[in-house]
Amino acid sequence: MPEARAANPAEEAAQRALDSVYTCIRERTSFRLEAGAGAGKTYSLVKALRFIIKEQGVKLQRQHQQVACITYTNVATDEILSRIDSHPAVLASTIHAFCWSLIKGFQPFLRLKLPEISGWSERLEEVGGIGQRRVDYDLGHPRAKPNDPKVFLAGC
Amino acid sequence: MYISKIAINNFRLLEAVVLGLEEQTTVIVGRNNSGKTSLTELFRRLQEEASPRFKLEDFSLGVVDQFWTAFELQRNGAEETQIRKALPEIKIELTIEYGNSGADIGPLSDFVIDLNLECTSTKVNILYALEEGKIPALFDDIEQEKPAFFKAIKERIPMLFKTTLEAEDPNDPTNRKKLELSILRALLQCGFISAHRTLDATTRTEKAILGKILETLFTAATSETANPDERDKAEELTKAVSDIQNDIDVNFNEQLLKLIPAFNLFGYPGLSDPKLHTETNLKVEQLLSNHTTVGYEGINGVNLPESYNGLGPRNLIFILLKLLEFFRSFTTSQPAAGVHLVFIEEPEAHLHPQMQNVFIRKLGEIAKFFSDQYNGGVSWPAQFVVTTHSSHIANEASFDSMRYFLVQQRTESPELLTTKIKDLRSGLSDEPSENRDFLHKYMTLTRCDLLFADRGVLIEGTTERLLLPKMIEKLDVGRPDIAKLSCQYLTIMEVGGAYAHIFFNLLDFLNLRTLIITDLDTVDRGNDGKKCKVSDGTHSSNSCINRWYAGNGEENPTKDELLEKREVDKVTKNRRLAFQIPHYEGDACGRSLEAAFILANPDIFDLAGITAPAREDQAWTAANKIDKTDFALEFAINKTNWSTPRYIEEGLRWLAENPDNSPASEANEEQEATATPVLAENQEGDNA
Repeated sequence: MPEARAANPAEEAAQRALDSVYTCIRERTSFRLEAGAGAGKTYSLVKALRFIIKEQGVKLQRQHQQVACITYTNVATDEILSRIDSHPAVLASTIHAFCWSLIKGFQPFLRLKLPEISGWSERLEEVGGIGQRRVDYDLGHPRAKPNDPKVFLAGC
Repeated sequence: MYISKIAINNFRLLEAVVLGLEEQTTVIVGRNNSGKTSLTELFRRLQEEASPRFKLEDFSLGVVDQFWTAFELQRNGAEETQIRKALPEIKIELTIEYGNSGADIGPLSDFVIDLNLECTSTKVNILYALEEGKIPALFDDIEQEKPAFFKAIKERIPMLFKTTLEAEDPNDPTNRKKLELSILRALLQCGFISAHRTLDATTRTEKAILGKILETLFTAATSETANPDERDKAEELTKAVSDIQNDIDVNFNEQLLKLIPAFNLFGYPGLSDPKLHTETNLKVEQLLSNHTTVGYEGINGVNLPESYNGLGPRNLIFILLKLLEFFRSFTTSQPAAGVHLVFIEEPEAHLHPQMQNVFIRKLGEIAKFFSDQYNGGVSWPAQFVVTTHSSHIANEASFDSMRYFLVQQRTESPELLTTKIKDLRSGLSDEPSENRDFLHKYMTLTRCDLLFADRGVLIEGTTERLLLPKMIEKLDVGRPDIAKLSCQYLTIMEVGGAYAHIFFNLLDFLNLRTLIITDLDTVDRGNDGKKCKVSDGTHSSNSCINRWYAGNGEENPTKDELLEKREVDKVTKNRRLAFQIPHYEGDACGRSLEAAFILANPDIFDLAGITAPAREDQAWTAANKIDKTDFALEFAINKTNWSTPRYIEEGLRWLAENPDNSPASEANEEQEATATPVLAENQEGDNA
């Protein structure tokens, strides 16, 4: 194999794109990375995450902060986590799981708002109101059962 | 982010206390045994034990009986919820304030459970309570007799009780969230500098305390989170040691080997040479803690060991290094805690007064200096809680930052003591600010130890100050059976009638039994309010007296009304007013202490045998002429055979009586009846 093979134009472009991603991260500006299928978007994402971990991982953890990395599917989440060794400074999850993790702690508020979601006021009436039930989020149909201390919002 | 309030229930003396904390330094004052150390101890347990356990003895004595109550409920078949309610639990409730800026609220993410944008505080509860479902286990097969019952309970508590953590919505107590106890560490870090610092051991075998601290500093510097500068230094240290290590391996161990006897000497046939090999290991940590001493530079290369320095500077250096250690352990902890509570117990040890003043003034600056110097200006969210017995520290700190621990008897069962915390920020908030300033300045200027005393006396001036010790001595000698005033911790403050009233609220607030000795200061309102003899006076110009009775709804009492006041009319809450009254029944009354003193001792001043008005006249003239200090010194030191003027004696008698710790008092039960002395020539004098 030749020692120094000249980078082909695609590789050069990829490196340029990656460099400008690093610059954006360092300067804390937003950016959008557009590329076709198989061009290496996830690869760049992982690169960017590793970059952040290396530069700021310790500091982020100290300040109880995480990088939110939102994906479309659980498969993609797992993929990313495995490539960054599930580093605690990164929170990778699907959009649903991410949002739910933000709001699930606010149970009294969820109980207050639940009847406003279509279908829920009737559903709750059947089981005698929300009471002190815990609002949870799971796969399957939305459901509330008479003696269940939880009611479930639908997963999808 | 900072802790604004700590409420504690049922821990030792702290049965139900609320302690407001300042954002930076809070100074806790109070006498011995008032629960200051319990406060520190409680946080020490939270910090040091992963799952703190408390013993039966840690519960406040007042609530221990509730175990029995709960047991009786269970025996009578009460509902479990009812039994659980009756069981005591140790509870710590922290209120944490956070700004809305969002910069530092990461550690709070698990604890904020409200969605109210206006609300910038949250509550964190730490509970030591019976585990769920363990009521039967607590009471099953237990002894039915009280002493045996409590013995069994004592054994069962550590097994069945558990410490739990929950977040509470400050505006909705029903909104709570259970949390893992371990995440408390992400929120709260504590550091302790305890009163027992073993600095005073001067023997050679003593552990080098300061050297020990160096080790912790080194460990902090090697951690992943330390800043690069520190880490470089630590690495250099490690490198220096590893160079020595190489040297040792080469030279030292080679020589060492020669010391080992050759095994073939033993002539074991067939014993192959085991080839011994020596290895000496050096570690920076061990070098620092065991073999490094901090010394002081001397001359001619003779350095002085750590223990040869004065205790004061050692104490100060110790505290400073300790603070630096806390700071380092904070900056390197992963994750960083939201709040760092640093308890400093009695920093005044071995320090002379000026040094104490400087210490408390500089404490806040130290925190800032550390973060500027070593942390690139990132602030260190340290809150200092300083407990002290020093009036120098107390007076230097502002009123607002002071908390006063007071031990009181429980109202229903006086044999049980409980701590009350008085918050000088909120407690005196009604006081106009110029009065607060006055009090603070007064206490700073006069180094007064009001905050540590059992009893207080407010006096007019020098004469009282010089004569009072003798008067107290005379009183105690005359009454061997009663609690002696000279054995109590008395603080005497020279305030003067014009300012004494400013102290009223503070005295009430501190619940300090105080005698206020002032002068009648009669004036004649018919004659432009000029000062005059008591017999010619219509009113008093003394603002302390006038304010006292104005406070009781009596504006401008006349002189005659004042002279008719009885003992009960002179007591309000925990303070008593004393002003001149005739020493002998029906005799003339002095206007000042000097005049009263002269009238009380007619034999010394050649007043016997003349009429009351004539006596008053002579006393008035004499009192106006004399040099007060000379007068007082003469009778305090040289001629000590005199009688104490009755108004002061009555007052001191009142002050000596009544137990301590009385709950906020209307506490003026029956007074010992004071027999009024009768002047022999009294009748005669009046009639003439």
